[in-house]
Amino acid sequence: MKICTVKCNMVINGIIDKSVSGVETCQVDNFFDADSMNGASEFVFYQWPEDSIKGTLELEKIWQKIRTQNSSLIVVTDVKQSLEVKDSLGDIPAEVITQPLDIDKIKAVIFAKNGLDKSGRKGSLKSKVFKADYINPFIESTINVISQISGVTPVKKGVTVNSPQELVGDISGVIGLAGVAEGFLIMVFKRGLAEGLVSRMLSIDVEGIEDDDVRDGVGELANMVSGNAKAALVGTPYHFQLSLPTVVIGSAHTVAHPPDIPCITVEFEALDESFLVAVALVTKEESK
Amino acid sequence: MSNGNGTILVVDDSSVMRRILSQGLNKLGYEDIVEAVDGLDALSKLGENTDISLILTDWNMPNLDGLGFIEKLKESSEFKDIPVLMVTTEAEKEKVVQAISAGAANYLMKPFTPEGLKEKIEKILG
Repeated sequence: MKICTVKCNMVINGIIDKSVSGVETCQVDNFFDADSMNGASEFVFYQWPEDSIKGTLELEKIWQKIRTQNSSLIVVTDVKQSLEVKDSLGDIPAEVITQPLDIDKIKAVIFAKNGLDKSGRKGSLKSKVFKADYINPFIESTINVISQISGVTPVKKGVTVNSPQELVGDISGVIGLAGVAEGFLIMVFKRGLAEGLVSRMLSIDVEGIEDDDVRDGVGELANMVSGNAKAALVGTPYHFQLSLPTVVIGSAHTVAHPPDIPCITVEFEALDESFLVAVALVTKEESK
Repeated sequence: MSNGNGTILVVDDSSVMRRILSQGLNKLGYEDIVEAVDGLDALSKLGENTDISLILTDWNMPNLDGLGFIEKLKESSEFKDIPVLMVTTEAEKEKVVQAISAGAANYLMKPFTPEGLKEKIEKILG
């Protein structure tokens, strides 16, 4: 989970930091700082300014930036301004909390969104819980598998939680994941990179690579990455079985994944080109 | 395999993986290699080649998977003594036990190194 605070004062930042241990936080003093806002925070806190017109404009800009990331937007304001703030929200699905803040108030907001009570235990709320910790074995597996089989070590460039539904590339390997947890893995490559990796896997020149080699090689990469991640997830609620790989080929094609399953997309770089690994994995508990 | 010691049967639905395995075997000095695309094809290739002395097989394949193939193999009085190395992404202890119980002689996780392939084959062939 990641929490981002936008234009919040030191007191608010301090309380949020103390509220949930082990949570990655970022503090954005200027919401035009796109790099800080990227990476999909699960929660974005914004402190409403004294000038309501300025607040309305800034809130709209923040919402435009995060609306595709499925983030929860929380506006922090004073009691006397709270009604005015709620009127200013319009269609923006933000929650308003009032100062003075304390740890319990922040925990209540975060846990309520995750279907937990104030103590962090499972409550009666039925909202879907979405944890991102299953992605790490897939990241390690991607690096290890490609490095070992092609001699090229991919570098992780970024992670997007609740990524856009459509991924664009020239060749994609898809593996269905089913069992204790269910979901999918999609690896999306540009043609040149896929050819480069497969030629190294086969120890032949790129010129000697044929369409069947690229298709088969990308399918095998998806299979090995899923299989190695699977082994690391034994004994966890995210354990799964593999389907046979499916490969999609077509210049700048789009792979769309189901909208009802949260998906994490990891961008890697290898041979000076980027490629994507998108993974969605939902436990039976989460899917209820 | 090499020096007239028989042929190795490589079974994998991925042509790239079959080529990687064959190349690895060639580098280790094993030159006589027959390829099959799944368990059913492998049974057919066994019928056509009487000198197969080692089988490398994937687990997840269409038609007849690696585990089913080993089970069929062990039911055959003609082929049941041919040693099988399972080469697969299925790396969990439970899967290894399942494959060994079915009759696999050893187990190699994909992706593998040339050294890893050599070590497993030497363990099987002595």
